[in-house]
Amino acid sequence: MPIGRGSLEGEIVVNAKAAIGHLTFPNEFSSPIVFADLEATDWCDPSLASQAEWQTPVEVTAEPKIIPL
Amino acid sequence: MARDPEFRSRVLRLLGSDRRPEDVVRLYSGLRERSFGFAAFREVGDFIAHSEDRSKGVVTDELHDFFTMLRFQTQYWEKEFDWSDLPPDFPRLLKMNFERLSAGHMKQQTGLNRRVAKRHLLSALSNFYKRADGRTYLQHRLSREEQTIVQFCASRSAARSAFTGEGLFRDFQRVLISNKLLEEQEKRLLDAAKPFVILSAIPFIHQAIITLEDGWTCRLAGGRSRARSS
Repeated sequence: MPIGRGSLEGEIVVNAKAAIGHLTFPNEFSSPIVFADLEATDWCDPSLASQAEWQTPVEVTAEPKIIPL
Repeated sequence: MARDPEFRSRVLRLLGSDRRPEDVVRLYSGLRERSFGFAAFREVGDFIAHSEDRSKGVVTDELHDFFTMLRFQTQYWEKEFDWSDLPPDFPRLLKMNFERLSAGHMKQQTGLNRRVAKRHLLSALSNFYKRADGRTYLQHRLSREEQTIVQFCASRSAARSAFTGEGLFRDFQRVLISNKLLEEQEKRLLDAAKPFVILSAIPFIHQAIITLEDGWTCRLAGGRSRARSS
């Protein structure tokens, strides 16, 4: 299925995940909804910069960087 | 409109070297009711004000349309459409999806430019009627062009972003100017704070829950993109 605007690899994004409830289709589908236009390696703590999905709450420092809360 | 002294003080700190995340957060949340239609700014302000269980805004609207179409399409995964038994909102879904699909992709796949394709789609949809049970059926045979555009709109999905960091920053700048909190000559100083303004929004969107419909929800999660997907 064609997908529209793609993101650059390594960019900070916010993905949306929803279950679509179909037996033979993947149960949960993910789609990027916000593109930050900023590189994760430049603007995130190293522990977050490599993760496709952050598992913890995050905050922004004065530096600025996104870090785990 | 008088300049708000608290907000102006926070803007001045942002323009200088004393940048504080709480200043940006306060500007997003405090000015969301005075965002002059700049949707990305308003959306972030609303996420800050109530990030759990969001049910309106540009993010919700975009996700609602995308996942509704996807849920419809998965019902027909590896199956042909039964033109005598379609969902009640089939014509509305197709019209909504038509507006989401790119003109370039449409031309490539159907050979029709957007204006002509729309004409054929609307003509095709006038041949769909409601059954007694509320479901939709096709009453008359479609022309080749009508069938092509109906098939295209029914089977393709387009994931689009609700906003980008660049767009959010532009909104932020315009909202400050509209509220007399930023002078034209100060715009360049604000440019230096662009990453700060964009990053400050992310923690409030990350881990938010969006209500789509009928209790159906969608979870947002920040992270690092894997690869270009188009």
